[in-house]
Amino acid sequence: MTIRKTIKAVLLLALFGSAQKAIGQKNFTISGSIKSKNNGESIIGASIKVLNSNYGTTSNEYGFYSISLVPNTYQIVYNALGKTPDTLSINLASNIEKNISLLEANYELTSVTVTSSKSSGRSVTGSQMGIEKLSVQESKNIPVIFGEKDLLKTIQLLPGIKPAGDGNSGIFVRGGSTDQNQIILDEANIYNASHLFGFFSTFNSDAIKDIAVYKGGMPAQYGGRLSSVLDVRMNEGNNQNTSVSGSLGLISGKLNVEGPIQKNKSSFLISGRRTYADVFLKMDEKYKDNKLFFYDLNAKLNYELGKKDKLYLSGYFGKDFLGFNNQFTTNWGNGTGTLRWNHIFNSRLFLNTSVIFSNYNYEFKVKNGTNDIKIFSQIRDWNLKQDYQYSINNKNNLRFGWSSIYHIIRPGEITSNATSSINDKIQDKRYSFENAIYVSNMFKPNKNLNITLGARLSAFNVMGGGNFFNIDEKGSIIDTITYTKGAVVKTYYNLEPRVSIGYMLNINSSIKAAYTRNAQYMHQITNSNGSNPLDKWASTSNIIKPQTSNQFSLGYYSNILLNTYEFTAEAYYKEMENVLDYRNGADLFLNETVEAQLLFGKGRAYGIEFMLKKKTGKLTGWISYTLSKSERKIIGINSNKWYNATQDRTHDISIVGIYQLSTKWTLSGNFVFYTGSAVTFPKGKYQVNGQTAYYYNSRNADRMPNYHRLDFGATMQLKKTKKWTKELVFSLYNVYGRENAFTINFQDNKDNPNITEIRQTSLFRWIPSISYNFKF
Amino acid sequence: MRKIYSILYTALLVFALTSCEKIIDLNLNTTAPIIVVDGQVTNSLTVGSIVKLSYTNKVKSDNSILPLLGAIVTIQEDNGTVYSLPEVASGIYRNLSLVGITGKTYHLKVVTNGNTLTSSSKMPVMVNFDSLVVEDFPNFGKTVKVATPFYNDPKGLGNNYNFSIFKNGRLIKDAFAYDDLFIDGKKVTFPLIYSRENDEFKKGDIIEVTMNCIDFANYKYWFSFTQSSTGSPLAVPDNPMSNIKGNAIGVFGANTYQKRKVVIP
Repeated sequence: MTIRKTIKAVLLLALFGSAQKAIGQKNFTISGSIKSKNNGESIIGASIKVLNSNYGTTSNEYGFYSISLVPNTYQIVYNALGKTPDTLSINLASNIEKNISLLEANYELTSVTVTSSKSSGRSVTGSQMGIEKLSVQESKNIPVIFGEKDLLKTIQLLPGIKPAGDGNSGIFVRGGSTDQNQIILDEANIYNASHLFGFFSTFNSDAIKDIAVYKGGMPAQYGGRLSSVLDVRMNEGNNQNTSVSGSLGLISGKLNVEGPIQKNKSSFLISGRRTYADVFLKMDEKYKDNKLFFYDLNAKLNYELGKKDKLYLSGYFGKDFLGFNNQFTTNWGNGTGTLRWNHIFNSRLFLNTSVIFSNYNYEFKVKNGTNDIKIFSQIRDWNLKQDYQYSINNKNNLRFGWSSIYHIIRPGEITSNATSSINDKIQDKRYSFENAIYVSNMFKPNKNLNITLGARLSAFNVMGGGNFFNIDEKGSIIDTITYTKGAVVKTYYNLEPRVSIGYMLNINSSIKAAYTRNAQYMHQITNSNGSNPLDKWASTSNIIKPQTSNQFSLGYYSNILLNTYEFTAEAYYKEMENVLDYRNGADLFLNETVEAQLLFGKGRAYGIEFMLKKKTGKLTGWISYTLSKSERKIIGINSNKWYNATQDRTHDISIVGIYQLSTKWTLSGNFVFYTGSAVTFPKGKYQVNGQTAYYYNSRNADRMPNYHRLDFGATMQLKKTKKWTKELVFSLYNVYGRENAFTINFQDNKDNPNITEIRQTSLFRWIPSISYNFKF
Repeated sequence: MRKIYSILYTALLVFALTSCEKIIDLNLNTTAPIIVVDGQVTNSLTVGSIVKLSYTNKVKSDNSILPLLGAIVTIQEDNGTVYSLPEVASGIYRNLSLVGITGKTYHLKVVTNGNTLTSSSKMPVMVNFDSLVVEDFPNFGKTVKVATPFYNDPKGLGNNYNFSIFKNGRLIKDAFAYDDLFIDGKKVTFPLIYSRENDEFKKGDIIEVTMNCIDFANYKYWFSFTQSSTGSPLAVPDNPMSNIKGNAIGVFGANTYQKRKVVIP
């Protein structure tokens, strides 16, 4: 498609919305912001419903809402997860501003049944599908490994989202790889969202408000990854009272301070976490010279400049440290900063402008005899974007904007001392621009139908300077071209349509369908499935093409027995182009010509996800089941035939139950089962130069043993007054001590090297934990 | 440098203090036997030139070799002399009079049951194996003895090395293949770190290290061997990159050969 045609198509889409505008009577608008009465935090996704009509909207990421209606008297119901609903009678004769503060529902302590689950993104209404939402509040009773509350692990209990490994925070979404998830914290890209090889995520639950995972049907304002968007939002800070909360656990300690700077107007939040496993290491003579810890620091400030303007400044810093004697030490971490400015032009038009910085780097020092070697790598983004939300009338809501990211990658730098055997080597920096414009319109032609039509046009400029290579089919370099800094090496365009339709079958059930195209310009080059801090990010270049995907999905949603239960089913088919793998014998380590070692191909993933959720009562929870397939076809692997992707797991079951025993005790449990990952076991063995070698011939045709596990948790409320809350949280991970295979190796037997042994390594059996949480 | 991944992996296991290992049994698929070529021409009068031909065996059988008998094996030096390698023992083909010369290319030809297998390798410049020293190496809380070969990599890229360790005459099953991408023109002093606790050097052990200078295809074979076949969890589940043409796997190299010996003090 030519650029001109593309732009034309985007404009046409935009016009689709405004064309609806001219019809009928003049509209007036009710707009404002929705906050929590208790702490002044703005509420994302609160519902605003016009009673006895099919009109309604939800609050945006900053708690702002706007609804346009013809003049009349309306009953408006404001509601949100865990809050007491509020109903207002409004006589609409002119544009009205209504700022709403909702009371925490469990604050009243009238019933113990107010738990979780109502916020499920799998809502019957609207056209958005493929979304899972989880707030820290709802996930707090679900047991997790080491007792460390972690949203990235809890979402793995939802259908279509699978862990990359035992106890791992890395996720596979609908058969995609871990690097195909866009993980953003207050809009900033987190390039490595894990600590300590993935056993912890970078998200300190004390600082996080909620997470939304888009598995499909991504709205047009998101782009850049094929498989999912994980939109993580930080708390803003209590603008009513200063409060201190914290916890002491087996692994880490946390402290969170927040409060108003100027009551009702501005607030701050500082939240820190540090692990202290290294303290235990020091106690053991054998490990005393080793270090192993990480910390996180989240901070946020927000300030109301006036009625129409609000500023938010947020930052995240996290770092891991690992060291063994003086033999080697390493540290890695992310740093991000986001400055946002909300501006309300008028009751219908809302603008957010963001300036975002994101950085990930690692440093590795090895001391090896007379060799002191240091290795460094970094990826850094500068991002400017604007997002407009325009409420045209009661049938149309338009959203449009643009984004521009400047990526700077320092692929690898190795330096050493004078006596070392290594030559210093600084690889060329890689520069690129990732730009996008988008528009989408939510259109509600009648009371049963919701249509969202949108498109995103992305453009990626590969920039000089430095050397770029041309390669032949075998990966040999044909020639080298040197570009000066600022020169454009190559530009790619992708038009990404986003369409979703929701149709209400009756008041309690609906069907939805969606088509989404995504393009991905940043790629992770890895030879491990879990999280490896040294995994390398590479930008699209003259050799690495953008990855693209088309996803079709269809879903059924229903509320049963007066909203006590919710049943949903979603089926999807996703095809992917230009997915990466690497050549046999590839040397990825600090390789200047790493692109010559890559192979490109196709992927396809399809499946069906079921979920039955109980939302109210003493017992809440869900059962989810996914049946799926994920395959790859890459020229140069598996004789160019389709093979199972590592992410392929046929069956995946999660059962989660939370039982409110009394006001004091909450019990919980979850059970997980999934088909073992696709792996390649040897088909034969032989001897070469005295070494035992294994013969492989079909990629990923074998299976690891099935994975299953049961966890228990219990929360004991110690004291609850208006000022103080204290609780003890107990958990037991892997209750029946299942030895789930982490790796299976083939090797010569230790005692009898003439035979082969198959050795299975398992990581976690019976991990008990206890933590103490407080808040005042 | 490639050891970094395995260091990280080991660190991970240390972290997961509850990790446990056990021997398991699996139902494994098997395949029809494939021909394996394991051949080299060396410049050593004692080692000479030897080609071992065998078939792949079942994973669950013992490590004994299934020899390929009755093949016709020849090696031609450049465009000159064709040496015939008679079968001196089951599956072992050898000609003591073939001693390789640096800079010459050797062409292997194997004819067996109507199959023809070929390969070529050029013997690279021999880099002097200056010395072999014993060093202390900190290994997760304890210090072990390791052997470190010293040599000076010549200026200019393209030198490749393969090392083997013998402890009291028995080969240690770890492969060490290096190119000179990071060490070009330097004095190289990297210890050879063996992976199994059972192989740990004790006082009085006789350690011999052989150093082969190898061509690029042989480097690729041994490098991909270390990535694939050692059973590392980060390994690539594929065969080492063979330089044998025809329906077979394995490697043929024209390698220089030097050996040094130390006794663990």
